[in-house]
Amino acid sequence: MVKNRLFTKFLRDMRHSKGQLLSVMLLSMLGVWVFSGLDIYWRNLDVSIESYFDEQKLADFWVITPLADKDPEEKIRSVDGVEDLMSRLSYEVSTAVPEDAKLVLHAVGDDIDINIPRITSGGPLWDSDSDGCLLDVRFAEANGLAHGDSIVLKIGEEKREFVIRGLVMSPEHVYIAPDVIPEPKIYGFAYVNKAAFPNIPSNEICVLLSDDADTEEAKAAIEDKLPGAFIQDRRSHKSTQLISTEVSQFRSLSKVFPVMFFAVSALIVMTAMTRIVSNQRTQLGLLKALGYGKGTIVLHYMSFGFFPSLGGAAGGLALGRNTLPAFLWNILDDIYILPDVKTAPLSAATLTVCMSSVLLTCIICWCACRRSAAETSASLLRPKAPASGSRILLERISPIWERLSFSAKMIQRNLLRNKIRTIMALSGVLSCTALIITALGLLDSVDHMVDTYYGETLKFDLRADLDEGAGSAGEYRRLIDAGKVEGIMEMAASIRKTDGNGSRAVLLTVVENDHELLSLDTAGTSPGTEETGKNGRNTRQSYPADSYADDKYRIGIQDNRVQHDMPDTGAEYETEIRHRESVIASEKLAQVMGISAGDILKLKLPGAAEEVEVFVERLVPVPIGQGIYMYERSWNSLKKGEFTPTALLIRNPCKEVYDLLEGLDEVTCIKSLQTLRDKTKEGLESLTGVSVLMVAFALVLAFVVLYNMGILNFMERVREFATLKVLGFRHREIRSLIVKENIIIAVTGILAGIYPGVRLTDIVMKSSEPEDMVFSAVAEPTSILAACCITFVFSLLVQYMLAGKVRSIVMTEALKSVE
Amino acid sequence: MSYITFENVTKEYRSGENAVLAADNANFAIEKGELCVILGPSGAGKTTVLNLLGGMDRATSGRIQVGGREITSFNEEELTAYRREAVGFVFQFYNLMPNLTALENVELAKQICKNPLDPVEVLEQVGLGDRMDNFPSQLSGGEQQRVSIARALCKNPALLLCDEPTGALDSRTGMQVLKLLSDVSAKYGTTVVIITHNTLIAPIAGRVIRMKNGRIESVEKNNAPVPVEEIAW
Repeated sequence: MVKNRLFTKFLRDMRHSKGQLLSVMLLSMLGVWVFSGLDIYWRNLDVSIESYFDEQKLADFWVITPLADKDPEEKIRSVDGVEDLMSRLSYEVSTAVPEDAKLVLHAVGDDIDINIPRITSGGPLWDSDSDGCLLDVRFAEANGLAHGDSIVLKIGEEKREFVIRGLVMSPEHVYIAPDVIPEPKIYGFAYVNKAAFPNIPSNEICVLLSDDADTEEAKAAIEDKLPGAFIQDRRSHKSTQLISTEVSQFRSLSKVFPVMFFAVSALIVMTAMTRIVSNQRTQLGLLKALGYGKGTIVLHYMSFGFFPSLGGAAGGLALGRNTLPAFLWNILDDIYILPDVKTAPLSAATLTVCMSSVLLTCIICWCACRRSAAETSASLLRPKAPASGSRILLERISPIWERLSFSAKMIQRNLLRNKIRTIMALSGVLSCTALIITALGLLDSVDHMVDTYYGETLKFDLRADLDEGAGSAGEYRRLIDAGKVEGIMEMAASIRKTDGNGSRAVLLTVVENDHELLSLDTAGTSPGTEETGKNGRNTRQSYPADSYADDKYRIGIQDNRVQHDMPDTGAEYETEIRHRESVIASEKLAQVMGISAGDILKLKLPGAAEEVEVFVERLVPVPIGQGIYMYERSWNSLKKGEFTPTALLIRNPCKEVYDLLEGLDEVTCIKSLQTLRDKTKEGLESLTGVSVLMVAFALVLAFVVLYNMGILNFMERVREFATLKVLGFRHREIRSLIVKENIIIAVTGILAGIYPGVRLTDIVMKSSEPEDMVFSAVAEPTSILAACCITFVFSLLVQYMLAGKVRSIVMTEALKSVE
Repeated sequence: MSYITFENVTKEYRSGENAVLAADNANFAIEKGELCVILGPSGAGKTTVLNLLGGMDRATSGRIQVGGREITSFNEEELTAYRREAVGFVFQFYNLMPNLTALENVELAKQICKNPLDPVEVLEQVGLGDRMDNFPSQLSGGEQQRVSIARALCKNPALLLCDEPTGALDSRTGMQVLKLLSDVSAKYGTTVVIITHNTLIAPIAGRVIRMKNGRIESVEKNNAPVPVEEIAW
C-alpha cells in the first residue's frame, strides 16, 4: 500500500497539537458522558420500576371501604375496566420482638394476586399457613433476622408470634417510612395470611385495572358505587408517587444540564478548530499548490475534528453507561427498596447526542477550512498581512491614555484588536462561572427550601404524634409546660373540582383557630398574591381572611359573602357562601389541580358517604407537602366530630416535657424540628448527589476550557514572545504581561457570568421540581463568590502553566521560518 | 506556437479605491525546454507572473497559454490537475510541512503524481542523502531550500518554476542548485523558469525577461548560454 503522506501529516499534526485536540476530545466526552449517564440512568430506573410493577402486579387503586358497606367487592368488580381485585386487612402494628418497631401488616385471604411481594430469600407463604409471615427484607437485615426466625407482634393487648418464612420486597413499598425517611430498623412491612385474623374483617381492597382501562373513569365509577370509600390511586400512593417523581426529575435534569455542557463544548470546539485551521494556513496553501484537490484538503482538515470528537463521544458513552447510572442508583438504593437493575436499550436520544457531537465538530471544521480552501494558493502562501492598525477607543481619551504605562497600552491594544480572540476567551470564562454557580445553586435551593419549611412554615421545636387515645388540645396545654402547645389534626381526604372528575387524595390538616406553629401566612411579602383565574381572563387577589385591602381589587369576606372584582370584564358578582366552609389550599396543589382562590371544591372525608362543598379561601405557599388546611371552627361547623389532635406541636418545651411525653401511652413518637429537617435533607440526597456531580463536571469543564483558550492564545503568539525574549525581556516580565492581560479577561468574564448563572439555576430548579414541592431558585452569595473564586483560581493556574511554557520557547526555532 | 505565452495579462489588487497592478499588460513567450530567467528589482511583479504561470492565482484579464492549453479559462478542478501534473514549484520561503521529515515532504508530492521520480534519488541529487530523516526545524535554510527543490523535481513536471531558489544559499551551494536546474532542463527537456534579482545569474539562461513595475521591459533570447560553472557572484 502506498504510504499516504497526507495521513502521516495528519497524525503528526495531531500529535503536535495534542493539547488542543485532547481538549476537543475531552469536551465531546464530557458532554456525551453527562447526557448519556443521566439518560441511561432514568431510563433504566423507568424500565426497572415499570417491569417490577408489571410483574408483581402493583395495584391501580387502594380502596378503603367503611365497614358498613355490603359487598364492596361485587360492586367494584362490576365496574368497567376492573380486571382483578383482592381484599385484605391492612393495619399498622407494633412489634414486641424486636422491640419498639412497627410494621405495616397486610393480611391476605386466598392467594396474593395483586401487590405480590418478591421473595429475596427463603420460601413462599402458603395459604394454610396461619403462623407464617413474609417480612420486609430491609427490616429483617436491620434487625438481624433471617427466614426461620420468628417475630412477635402486638395486636391490641395480645402478643402473637409469627415465623418468618421468607424475606421479601414489595412493589407497593418501594418506599416505606415512619415519617420523612426510611428507618428500616424501626419501620417495615409484613404479609401474613388472613387466616391468622379470622375475626377481623378486611378493610382494604386492592384493585387492578386492565391495560386499556381509563383510570379516571374507573375511579369515578367506583366512587359512585361506593360513596363512602376512600380511593388512593398510584398518583397519591406515596411510595409509587415518590419513585415516579424520581424518574421524572431525572428525566428533566437529563435534558437541562447536558444542554448547558453542549453549549459550552460547542463554543470551545468552534474556537479551537477555527484556530487550528487558520494556523495551518500556509500548509493548506502548499497542499493546494502541490495539486491536492479541494475535496481532499477539506477532508484532511475535517479529520482533525472527526477523530477526536469520535473518540470523545465513544469514551463518553462508555463512561456514561458504566459510571453515572451505578453511582446514582446506589444513592437511590439507600432510600428506596429497588428491584434489580434492568438495563433499558440505548435510547435514540443518546445515540443522537453522540452523533450530533461528532457531526457538530465536523461541520465546524468544514466551515473553518472551507473559506481558506476557496482561496487561491498564492494568497494562502503569502504571509497574512498584520491586522490593519486601528486606534482603539481608549486612545482617543488622551488624558487616560497618556497616563498608562507601556505594557498597559500594549495589553489594551492586544485585547481590543483581536476582538474575536478576546470575546472567545471571555465567553469561556463566563460559561465556567455560570455552570459552577448553577451546580452550587442547586444545592443552595434545596437547602433553602428545607430551611424555609422547617423554620418559617413550621415553627415548633417538638412534634409529638398521637394515636387514637388522644385527649383534646386543651388537656395537653394544661399538662405540658412549654412556650406554646398546639394540636393539629391530620387526615387523608379527597378533593374534587365541581366541574371535573379528577378527584385527588390529599392531606387535610385542621389547625387551631389561633394557630402559630404552623404558618399559613401568604408568604409575608405583599399583603396579597395575584393569581390568574383558570380561564385566564380574571385577575384575582387573595388576602388573609381577616384583613382587607384598600384598593379596588379585593376579595373581602364580609357577612359570609365573597366579593370578586373582575376589572377586565367590568363585572362584579357576589357569591354567597353561607352554607359552605372554607379551606386553605397550598399554592403548588392549586397550580397542579388548576384551582384558584374562590373556587368551590367537593371534599370527601374518610368514612363519609357524602361529599361536602367547601370553598378555597386563599392559597398559601408551602414548600414541601402539598395539601389543604382548615381552621378548627370550620371543622366544628362540619360536625364530623370533635377536634381531636393527631399531633402536638410544641415550642420552647421545658426540660421535662420530653420524658413526660414519652410516658404518655397515646404518644407514638416524638421528633424535634432539627431531626425532621435533617431527615428531609437526607431524603433529598439523590438531588444533592446530582449537584455534587455537576460541580465536579463544571470544574473539569472550566479547567479544560481555560487551558484550551490559553494554549491557543499562546501558540498564536509564539513569535511575539520569542521576539520579546530576543529583545531581552526577562521571563518574569513576559509572564506578567500574559497574566495581566488574562486577568482583565478573567475578571470581566466572571462578572459577566453571574447573571446567566443565576438564571440557569432558575431554569434547572423549575425543571426538576417534583409535584409535591416548590423549588425556589436560590443562589447564595457565598456560592456565587465561591464560583467566582474557583474560576479565577483556575484561570490563574492556567496562566502560570502557560507562562512557564514561555521559558521553553527556543528563540532560534520560533523565529526561523517565515510563516 | 510557443510553449508558454502571456497575452495582455494583468493582475490587479484592489483595496477600496486603490488598485495595485502587480502585473500590467504583460506579454511574452517562452519555448519548450528553455531555461528562462526573470529579472527585476523587488516589487517588479516577478512572483506574480510566476504564480499566474503556476496556476496558483488567477489573472484579472488576459490569456495565458501553456502547451496548447489556455489555463486562464480553467475551472477549479482543471487548475488543480494542472498544478498536480504539469507544474513543480520551488518557493522563496521553502514552505515545507513542519511535522514531516525531508523525505516525507518529498513523498507528499510524489503520491499524487503519475510519473514521479524516486524521492530518495532526488534527495541524493540535491546533496541531502544523509539528511533525509531530519525535520525542517533541524535543517538550515539552504538545506530546506534543497528539500523544496527535491520536492518539485520529484514530481517530474513539464514546467519547473523557481522563486529565488538561491536567495538564502551561499555561492557554492547556489551553484550546485543552479547546475541541477539547468541539467534538468537539458536532460529531461523540462521548461525551467527562475526568478531572481541577481543579474549575474542571467547568463546561464536561454531567455531573459526583465520586469519593472509590473511591466515587461524586455525579452531577450540568448543563443549561447554560459554553463553554470563559469559564472561567479
